[in-house]
Amino acid sequence: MFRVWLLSFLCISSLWAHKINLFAYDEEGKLYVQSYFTKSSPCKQCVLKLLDDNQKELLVLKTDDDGKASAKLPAAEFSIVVEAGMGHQSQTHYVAQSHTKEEAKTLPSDTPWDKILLGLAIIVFFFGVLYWTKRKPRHI
Amino acid sequence: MKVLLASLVCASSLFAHFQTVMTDKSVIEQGSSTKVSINYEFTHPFEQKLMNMEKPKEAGVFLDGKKTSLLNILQAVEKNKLTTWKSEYTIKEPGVYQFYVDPVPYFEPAEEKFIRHQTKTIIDAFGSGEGWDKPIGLKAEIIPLSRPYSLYAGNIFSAQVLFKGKPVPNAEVEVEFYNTKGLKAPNEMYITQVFKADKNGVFHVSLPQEGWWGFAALMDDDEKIKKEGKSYPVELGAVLWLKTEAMK
Repeated sequence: MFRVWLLSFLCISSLWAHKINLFAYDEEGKLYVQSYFTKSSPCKQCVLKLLDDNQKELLVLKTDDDGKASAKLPAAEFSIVVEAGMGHQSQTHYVAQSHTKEEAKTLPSDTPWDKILLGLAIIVFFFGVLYWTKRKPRHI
Repeated sequence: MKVLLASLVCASSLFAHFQTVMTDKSVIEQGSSTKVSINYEFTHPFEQKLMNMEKPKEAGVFLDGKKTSLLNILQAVEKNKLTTWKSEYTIKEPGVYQFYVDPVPYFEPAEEKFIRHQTKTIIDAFGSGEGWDKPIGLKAEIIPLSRPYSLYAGNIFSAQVLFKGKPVPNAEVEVEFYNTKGLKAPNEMYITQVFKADKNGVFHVSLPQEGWWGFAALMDDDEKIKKEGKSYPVELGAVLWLKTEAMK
């Protein structure tokens, strides 16, 4: 019994000793979050909540076994909360460096429509010329 | 004349030379700038008397067992016609980063020896928490036994002195405060504090002020350097810099 108590105490005390850390960055509208106690001790399968200023949930994610999670940016600014059970959590305010989902909609498309149209025009012109040169002369 | 010369030699030995590596931040947290500015000086830290520093032989950053050279991005900074150096490094992931420099040995004519201080400082990015007690493989190196980037003024700092990876019994460690506050020492003996390590090369030092502290474990190198046909001994220094903060 004493052993069980001692083991439980050691487990709890190790949780107290470990602070949960958050590392987040974004690239091209995608948010990457890493959560860990120390670098080699990831926060596995931990719940990540992205909250707006009114504490409304924008997104809920779960970390993988490396303590990592990623998602499209839900807003330009939000709070990231990681929960590791036993009431242990860490929170940080995050300001996105790249475009959010909403901003990305208003940006010029990456699809090179001008080049596609030019290519189609060249093909039509080429076959048009070919058709014109190969057509049979009309005999009146 | 001999007395005068002897006095000069004694006087100059009181003013310890320190190679420095200092960063503009010791801890990087989420949301703060990830750009680290690194300054390299050869100086008398308490008296703030600079010496000229040649471009070092090696300068870099150590992370997770791997060294990355910063030598190509070092920039000279002129201060009162003396050269110091600076560089920048952008942190991209959590980790403990050790910034180091191995300078060109400096010839000290008064002591007829070369001085080579292999120097480092350690910072943490995003609470990584691991690696601050890992040697980076310098010939002479101080390994912290106290986490070196989160000490309060007044804390005790413990560390171990290594030479070629092995503890140096009874190593002599000089300690100086990087005195940007204009503090006055009661007398010259207080400028450089001296401590002895135990048989395992372990020493303990209390740090009474907030700011940068330098630790130089000095030893005789097993190599000599030739200058103008004569061989001179080399004072090899394992140097570590850390910053304490005030508890407010």
